[in-house]
Amino acid sequence: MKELELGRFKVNDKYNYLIAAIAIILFPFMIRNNYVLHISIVLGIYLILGVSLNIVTGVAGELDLGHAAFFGIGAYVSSLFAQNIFNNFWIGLLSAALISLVFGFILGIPSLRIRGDYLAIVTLGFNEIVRYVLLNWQSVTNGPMGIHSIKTPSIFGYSFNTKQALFYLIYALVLVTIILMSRISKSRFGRALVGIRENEIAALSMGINTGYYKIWAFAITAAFAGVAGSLFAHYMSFISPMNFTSNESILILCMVVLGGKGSLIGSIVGVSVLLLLPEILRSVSMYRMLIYGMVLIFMMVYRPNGFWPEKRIPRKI
Amino acid sequence: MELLSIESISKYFSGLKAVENVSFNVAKGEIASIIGPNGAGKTTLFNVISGHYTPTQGKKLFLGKNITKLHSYQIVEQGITRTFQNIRLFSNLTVLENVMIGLHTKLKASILDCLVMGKKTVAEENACYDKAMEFLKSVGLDKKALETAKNLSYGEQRRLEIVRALASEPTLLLLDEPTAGMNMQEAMDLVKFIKALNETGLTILLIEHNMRVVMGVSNKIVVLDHGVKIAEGSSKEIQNNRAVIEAYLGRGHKDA
Repeated sequence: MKELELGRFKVNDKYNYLIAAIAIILFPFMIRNNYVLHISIVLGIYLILGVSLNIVTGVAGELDLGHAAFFGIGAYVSSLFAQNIFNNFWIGLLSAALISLVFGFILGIPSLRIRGDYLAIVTLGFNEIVRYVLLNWQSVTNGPMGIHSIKTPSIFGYSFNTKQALFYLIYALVLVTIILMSRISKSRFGRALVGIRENEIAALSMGINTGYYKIWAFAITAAFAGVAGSLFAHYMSFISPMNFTSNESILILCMVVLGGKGSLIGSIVGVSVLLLLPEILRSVSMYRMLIYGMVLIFMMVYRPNGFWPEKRIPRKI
Repeated sequence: MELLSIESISKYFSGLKAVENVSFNVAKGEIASIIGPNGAGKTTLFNVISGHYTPTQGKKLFLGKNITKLHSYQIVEQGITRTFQNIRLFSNLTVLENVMIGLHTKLKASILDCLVMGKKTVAEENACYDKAMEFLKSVGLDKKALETAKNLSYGEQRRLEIVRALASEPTLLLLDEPTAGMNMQEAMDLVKFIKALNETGLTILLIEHNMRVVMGVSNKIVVLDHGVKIAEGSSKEIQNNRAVIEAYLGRGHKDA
């Protein structure tokens, strides 16, 4: 069956990933400006945060205001494991993912009983608890003074100590994340989550174990936020609890919602616009926040479904 | 052979006795109907059978196996699926995706399989797409496969809901007022459809208000009133049963 999306270009996954890979490889060669590279790297980290939050909030439809908590857990775990314990970035990265995964399960448990606004408050509470622990467990986290001199990643002796190298490392992971999130969305797992979102009782009647899938959605989303946290820590080389507040969670949520809940491309667009707009508007710094606010309002009035609304069209692989 | 055994099922909601001590059996291959005035407890009973409510008392057996404590999603795996009185489609999803979700229990991909997307999983996904299209074709909805479910006409939505329930290849199909909102022609078309399904070996239990449908299709009728079973039998027996007539029409009437 020929599928055509009127008004959208045809999406053929493998082709797109190839083009993206080529663009990623060429970018640091074409753009030598360190500032632009820096922004691109930060963009990459937020892309991972955005597309992962999209799984729980967009695809599964569970309001999650605690994403920054896993960002923080990942950052701290990675720093501590890479510095003090194992002296290896990759172990730090893996631990960040696994430990965030476990905490993601924990956050998923209330989602079995609580819905909507109440769940939002619980996730927000979780975010605050994590931040509070990071701030006060001084013996481990160094409290408000944060962790500094976090080592740059290295592999087999080669150290990623240029912005270009870090760009490649981070965008390789961004690409992997996007591929995995896309697979989730289009698979049996994604269909189960969407069924739960659209009509939970009907989903149960289809034999879907809703509790199982909800918890896993939270866990996987958290794991990727942990990965983003690890990358953030090793890029910035300094982290403090201030980086992982509930404001941060709300910002990432805005990016996903503005981009289009449930849509992978939407999340990418949403993250890009909300991150790059303030940078582009630096030249009109006086009006920056005004324009930013107007964009948000305009979007919510004229395109409440986001820049790139979700459109689920089943396709053969 | 008894497919489904309902034994002394009661369902109370904090003092309200919605269903009280109801027992009946459904034999393999038959079409049974549950009828009764509004508020009789028919949908509550359905919700107990399909696992959406746990019975306060009593037990249910399916193919001899005790399924009383199973959750609704586990009951699907046993071979029982249901439709709903007020259509519960995934309205914002495509017609095709609705059926693909219906195929959930027939697929085996675990979450890890979905992430890895190996050859086997890809093959399974494509097979799922094809199977869903086949199901749609069997009810004439294949041309509308990529249409959003809520854009379908009422009759088409009902058909979609039924075919989505059939996707899990149940042994017993529960239909909750399938002809609600239909005119006589549409209802009779559905009767033909139900009979055809039954001929393939599917056992069907339905709740219905339309008496022509009930009498035209059922091998056995169970009548509920105020949560209690007041009669059970063939369509002829039920039509002449005094208690049934009184339940629908009230006391003081001599003719049906």
